[in-house]
Amino acid sequence: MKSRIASALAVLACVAALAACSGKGSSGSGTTSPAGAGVSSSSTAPAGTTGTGTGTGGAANAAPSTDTRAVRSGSAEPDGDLSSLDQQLSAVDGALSSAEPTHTADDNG
Amino acid sequence: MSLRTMTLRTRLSAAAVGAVFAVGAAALPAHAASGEPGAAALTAAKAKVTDGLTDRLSTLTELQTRLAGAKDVPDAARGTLTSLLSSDISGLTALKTKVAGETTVAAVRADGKAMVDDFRVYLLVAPKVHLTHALAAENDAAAKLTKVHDALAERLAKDPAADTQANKDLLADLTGQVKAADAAIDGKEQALLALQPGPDGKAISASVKDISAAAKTAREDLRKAVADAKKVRDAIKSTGTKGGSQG
Repeated sequence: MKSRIASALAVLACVAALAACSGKGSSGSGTTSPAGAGVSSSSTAPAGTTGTGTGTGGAANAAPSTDTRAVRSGSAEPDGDLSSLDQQLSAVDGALSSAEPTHTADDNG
Repeated sequence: MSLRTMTLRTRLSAAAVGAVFAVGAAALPAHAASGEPGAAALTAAKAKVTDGLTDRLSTLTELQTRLAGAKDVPDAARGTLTSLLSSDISGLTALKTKVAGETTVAAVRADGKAMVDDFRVYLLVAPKVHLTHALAAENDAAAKLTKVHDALAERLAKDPAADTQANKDLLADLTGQVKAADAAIDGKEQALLALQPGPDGKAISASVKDISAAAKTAREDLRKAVADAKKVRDAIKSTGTKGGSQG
């Protein structure tokens, strides 16, 4: 009798464990896209603001993780970095063009 | 009629004509007596100076618009320039009223001199606005290029194929060009805004040209830095493309 109760409890524990696992799985898949969007935007921010250690260091550390890589490939992987660089260089070009003289000093006072 | 009588008549006529000239001269206006032109000349002088004032006021209004559109001008410089433009507009408007009320060409001439020497709208104020904006834009470009350098350095560190000595040299040159640009324009904005109008137009022009030349040098340095950055970026793109086709 005790063994039956023990096995029933074991089965219940297994069911509970499985339910917990499936719950995590579903919530994980359910939040993939917003989480992806969140990571995507947060990884874009450092690239756009400083482009220094944080973003790329994070990418290097996360390299073995395929999930992180998949998320990053949306915005911050090479093409994303380079397009951000292109934008920054384009902004520099624009700033330098606006700095070109449009008026020369007039000797007429 | 004897020769003696003729001589006496001639002498009397000459004396009469002389008396008429003397009375006429005494009755002429002061400016005519001193050799100054008359009312027509006064009107012409007023018109000329008034046109100069109108053109300068128009330029100052344009400069106000330009300054408002130059978002990268630092607040302190913007405040200084805004005050300068406003006070010059007030001063030139008052001068315009003064010119209208002048009664002598000499006074109008003095107003015309004040219009030039006391304001120096074309020689100094306009370059102040243009160059302050240019210097601000160059500072902004230098800051952006420093970030671009850091981003490129990180990319090279992660991409062995692109991490060549040539690319490292380009990044080093980029840094050097940005530093050179910074050095070229260091303190120029303050020097520019400190320049004051005055009668020595050549000295003002020389000072403005020095600052303009520094801004031009900085611009050229920054363009070289941009070229360096683009070469490194292209190299990274190239290795990325090759990696993609291989993988």
